[in-house]
Amino acid sequence: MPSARIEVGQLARIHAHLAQTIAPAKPRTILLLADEAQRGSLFFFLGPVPLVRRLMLIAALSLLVLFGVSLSGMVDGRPESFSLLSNSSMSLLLNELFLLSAAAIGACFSGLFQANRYISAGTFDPRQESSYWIRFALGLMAGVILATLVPIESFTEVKSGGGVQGSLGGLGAPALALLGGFSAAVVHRILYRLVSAIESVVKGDPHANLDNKLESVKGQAEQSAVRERLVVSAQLTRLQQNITAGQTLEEIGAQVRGIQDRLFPAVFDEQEDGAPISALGSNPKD
Amino acid sequence: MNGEATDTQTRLGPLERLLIRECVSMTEHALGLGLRVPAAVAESVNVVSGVLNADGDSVVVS
Repeated sequence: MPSARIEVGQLARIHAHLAQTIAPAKPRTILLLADEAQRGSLFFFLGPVPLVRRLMLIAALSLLVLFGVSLSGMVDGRPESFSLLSNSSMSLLLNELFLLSAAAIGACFSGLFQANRYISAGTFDPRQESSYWIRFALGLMAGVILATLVPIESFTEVKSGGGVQGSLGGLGAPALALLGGFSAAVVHRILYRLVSAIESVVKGDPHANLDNKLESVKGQAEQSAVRERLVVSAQLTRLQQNITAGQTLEEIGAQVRGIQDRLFPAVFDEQEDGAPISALGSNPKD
Repeated sequence: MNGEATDTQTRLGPLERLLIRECVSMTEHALGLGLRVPAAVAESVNVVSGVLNADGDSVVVS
């Protein structure tokens, strides 16, 4: 059996050195790319890693479906053909398949673009593969939602003969599906804004809410002032009792100072430090 | 070590095998890009990869 004398610690140091040399590429990615190239898969020409190959196959399949479905006369680009309420049966199925394939192309395009960026940098992590499929599924949903929600028919005109004219030429809905598939995040933001807008309607008048908050703050301030007055009143009563009891002038003076400190804490703090008393009655920090 | 121990040698475990395979692929990648790899490092990687390729069950003495 062949053998090599090398310490594991030395091997780890070599590994660390090489990892530093090829940074920001990751050792695991480089090994994956090398293994895939060595394996010599039949579909290797589609991409260097299995995820890219699968996405490429789905993109090609979606493209075939898009073209195949568009051959049918039922897919005519008319806005009502894409409507779930106006259309039905096989015609609706073909039109929705048309939108779905457009969304799938957009989602594949986005996934491939992102995976390619990571592979080029050598930072692709196969453990993140599931997140690509989640984004693909989100893209499909987002594409169909966007194509269904946006009233694209307002940008198109139906000819008297049955065809479609206008700047989008009947491709508005599939284009939106493709865009939605490409960026599910945008559709998420649109839906979030719609929900916020509806929520603000339900919440009522914002001015009324503000007035209520102001009233609440005023009430709290008044309660606090009443509490302070009660405390000062109690201290004055105690002072009066002490005078009657015959306390010394120094003790009475200390109690008076305590009451003054409670009423104007900042002013009397400064006075103790030797500041002039002229600030009494005004805010010393002005 | 993750492997099965003998008197003087230790059979490679999965971790060591992965470490060596990563070293080999990183060296090839670095050399392919024209990055500078110290001769000692390249030589060490070459030795262990030669053994690894010979029977796929190389031996490392630690």
